Amino acid sequence: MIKYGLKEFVNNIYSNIFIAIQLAVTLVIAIASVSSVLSRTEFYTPVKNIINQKKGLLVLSADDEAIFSDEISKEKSVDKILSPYTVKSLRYNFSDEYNKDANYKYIYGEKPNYITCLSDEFANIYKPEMLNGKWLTDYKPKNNNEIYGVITENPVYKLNDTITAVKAIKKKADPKDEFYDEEDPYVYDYVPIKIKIVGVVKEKAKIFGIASDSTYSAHTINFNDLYSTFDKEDTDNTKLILSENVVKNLGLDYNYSDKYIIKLKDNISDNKMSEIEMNMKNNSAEILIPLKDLMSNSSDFVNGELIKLIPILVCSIILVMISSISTTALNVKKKLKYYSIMYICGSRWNSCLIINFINNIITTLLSILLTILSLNILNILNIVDVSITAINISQILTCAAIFIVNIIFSSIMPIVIMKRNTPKEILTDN
Amino acid sequence: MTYILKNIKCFATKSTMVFVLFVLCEIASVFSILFAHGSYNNFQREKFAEKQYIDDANNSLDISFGNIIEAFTDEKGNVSSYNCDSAITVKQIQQFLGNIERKECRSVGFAFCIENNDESCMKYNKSSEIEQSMPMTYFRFDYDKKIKDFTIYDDFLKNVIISDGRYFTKEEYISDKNIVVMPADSDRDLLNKEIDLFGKKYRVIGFFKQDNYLEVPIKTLDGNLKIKYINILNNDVLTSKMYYQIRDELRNVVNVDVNMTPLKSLDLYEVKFFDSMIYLSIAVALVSAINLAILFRYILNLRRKQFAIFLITGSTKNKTRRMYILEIMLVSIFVFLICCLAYNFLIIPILTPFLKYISSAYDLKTYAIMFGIYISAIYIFINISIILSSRKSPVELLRERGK
Repeated sequence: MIKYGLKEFVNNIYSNIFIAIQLAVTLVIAIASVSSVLSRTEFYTPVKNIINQKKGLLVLSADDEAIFSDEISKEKSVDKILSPYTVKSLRYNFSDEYNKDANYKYIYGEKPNYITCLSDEFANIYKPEMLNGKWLTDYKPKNNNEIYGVITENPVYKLNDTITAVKAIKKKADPKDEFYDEEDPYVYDYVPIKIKIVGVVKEKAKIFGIASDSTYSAHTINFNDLYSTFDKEDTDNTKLILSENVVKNLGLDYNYSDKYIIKLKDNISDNKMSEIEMNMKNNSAEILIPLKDLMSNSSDFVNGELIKLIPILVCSIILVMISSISTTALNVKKKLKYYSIMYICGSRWNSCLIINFINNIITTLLSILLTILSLNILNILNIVDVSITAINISQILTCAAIFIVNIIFSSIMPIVIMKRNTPKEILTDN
Repeated sequence: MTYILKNIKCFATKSTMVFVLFVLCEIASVFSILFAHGSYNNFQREKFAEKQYIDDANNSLDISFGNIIEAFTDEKGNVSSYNCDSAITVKQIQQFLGNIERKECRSVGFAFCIENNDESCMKYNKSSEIEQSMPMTYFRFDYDKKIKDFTIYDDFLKNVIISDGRYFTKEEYISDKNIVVMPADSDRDLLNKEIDLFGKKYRVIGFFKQDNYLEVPIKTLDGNLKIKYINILNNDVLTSKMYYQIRDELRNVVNVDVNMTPLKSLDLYEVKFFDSMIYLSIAVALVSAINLAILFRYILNLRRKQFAIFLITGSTKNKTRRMYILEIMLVSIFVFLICCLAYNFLIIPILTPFLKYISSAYDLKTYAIMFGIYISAIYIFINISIILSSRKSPVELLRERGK
C-alpha cells in the first residue's frame, strides 16, 4: 500500500507540491499567530502568580533605599519581600584611568557603579534576552568559590572579561594617627575582587525587578513597570548582577532595593494595610500600589492587547479551515476516476482510502519540511523577530490540530463520495 | 453572453459541490485580501505613530544643572524639564561645544538663553507691559561643516524676520565683533549707532520684527554669565549614543549634576510585534491567492471535455478562451463587489474597536485599485492556464479529462 501511495504522490507531484506549499504557508501563519498571542503575554505570565495576592504592595521606587529597606524588614505584617538587592560595599568603575592604574580607592569612591545581586528564586522568575553567554541561573560555576556575574550590554565590558570590583573594609582609626578625623574615625582598606562576566544582557532587553534610572510617568501602573531596559551607552546605569550565593560567600552585606514586591500576611485587615501603606510613604516610598490594583490593571492591559489580535486570529482560522476543506475536496474529486479504475481492477474502497491516506501523509510531511525551511530562512534573513517564529509546545499543538483536521477531511470526503456512488457512476460522470 | 450565463447555470446545477466550494473560497479569499490590506495599514500606522511620538518627545529635550528642585511633566505625565538650582557659564558652554566638535553628537543643535542682569539692556527696552526683568539673549547653535564650527542654527537663519537692518551672518555670529540685533520694541533711530551694553560699545545692525529679546555674538559676553537651561534642537533622530555623549561631555566641564530629560526610546518588543503583524497580513493575502489559484486550476481541468467539444464543433481557441475567462470573471466580479459592500458596511465597524486605524485604510480609490489588481491577477492566471492547456489537441484533452 505504501508503494502505491508513493506512486500516487509521484503521479500528481506538481499538484501535491502546490498543496504542500499552501499547507506550509498556512502552518507558518498558524505558528506566527500563536506566537503573537504568546508574545503579548510574555512578560505577564512569569509574574502573574507573584502579583496575584490579596494583601500585598508594590513599591517601584524609594527615595532612600537604606531607610526603606530597614523599615520594611522590621514591619511585622510583612510575610515576604521579593526584590533585588544592592551590594553597596562592593563597587566597580568604568573609568579607564582608575582601572588601568588599579587605583582601588578611586574605583570605590569616584562615581562608582553599585552591584546588584539576585536570589535564585528571583533570577528564575524571568530570564532576559542575552546578547551572549548565560543568565545567572543557567551558569554552572566550576566551584563554590567562583565569583561570576552577568552585566547589561555596555561599551567596555564584554563576555569573559574580568571586572575588578573593590570592597572597602572599615577599621577604626588610631586617634594618634596624623590624619585622624573625629567626624569619620575610620580607615578603609580597599580590597580588589575579580568578577568574571559569564553573560551579557542584550541592550534594551527587559529585565525583571531591577530599576533603571528612568522616572515613572503618571500612567496606570501595570506589570510592564516591573521590567526595565538598559541603554548600552548609559554606563551610569549599567548593571552588574551577581548571584546571592556569590555575595554571601564573599561575606558582604546587602539590602533590598529597586522594585519591591511586598507580600503581607493574609490575616491583616484593610485598615492595617492602609496604615502600612501610609507608613511606607512616610519612610520614603515614592511610587506605591497595592498588588490587587496592580493585578487588575495588568489583566485589563493584557486583555486589551489580546483583543487586538482577535481579528487576525479569526481570519487565520477561517482561512486555514477553508483552504483545508477546499484543497482536500478538490484533491479527492480529482482522484475519484483513478480510484474507480482501481476498484474495477480488484482493489477495495478501503484500500483506495489507505492509498489516499498515505498520499496525504507524504504531502503533510513535505509541508512540514517546507515550513521548517521557511522559518529558518525567515530567521536567517532576520525578516521577522525570532519570538514570532519560535516553535514551542503551543505552536506544535496548533500545527498538529491543523494536520489532524486536514487528514480527517481528506479521509472523510473520499469515504462520503465513494460510498455513495458506484464506480460505474463515477466513471460515467467523468 | 447567453452562452456564458448558461454555462454558469450549468456549472451551478451539475457540479453543485464544486460551485459552492468555488464561491465560498472566493468569498473567503476576497475577505482575507481586504482584511490583510487593512491590517497591514493599521499596524504600519501604529508603528509610525509610536515612532512619531518618540521623535516628537525627543525633539524637545532639556538640560539643566545642579540639584533638582522640581520636575515638570507633560499631559502624558512624562518629565519634560527640570527646575534646578545651578547653571552652566558661557565659558563652560563654549568649552563643551569645542569638545564635541569631533563627536557624533555634534550634529545636534543647541539653544539656550541668558538672562541679562545688565541694567544697560533695560534702557533700550521701551515696552512697559512686559513684566520680565530683562530682555533675554538667545543663542541657537548648530554645527556647520563648511565653517567647521558651531554657528547660528540654519533653520532659524532662514526663518528669522528682521524689520530694519539685518541679522548676523554665520561668521559674525561666532566672531567677537561687538554688534547687536535689538528687540522689536526698540527705537529704530539706533540703527547703525553704537550703544552701551554689558559695559562695552555695541553697534546696532538690525531689529527683530516681533521678538522682544536682543542677540549679540557669544564671544563678546562675559564668560561667567550663567545659563540655566539648554534645549536640544534636532530635526534628525537623536540616538542614545549622542544623548549620552552630550551628558558625559557636559559632566566634564561642569562640577554639578547634569540633568537631562529622559530619552524616550522605542519599545523594541512593540516594534517587532508590529513588524510581525505586518508580515502576517502579507502571508494571509498570499494563502488566499494560492487558494484561488488551486481552485481556478481545478475548474479549468474539469472543463477539459467541454473545451475539447467546443473546439471539435467549430469554436476557435480564442473564442472558447474568452468565454471561460468571462464566465469566471463574471462570478469573481460579482463576488468581489458583494464582499466589498459587506466588508465596508458590516465588517469594518466591527473591526474598528480592535484595529483603530483600519477604517482609514479604505476609500473608493483603494477599493478600485484592489479590484483592478484582483481582476488583472485572475485574468492573467486564467489566460496562462488556458493557453497552456489549449496547446493540446481536442483528442488529447478528451483522453485527459477527469485527470
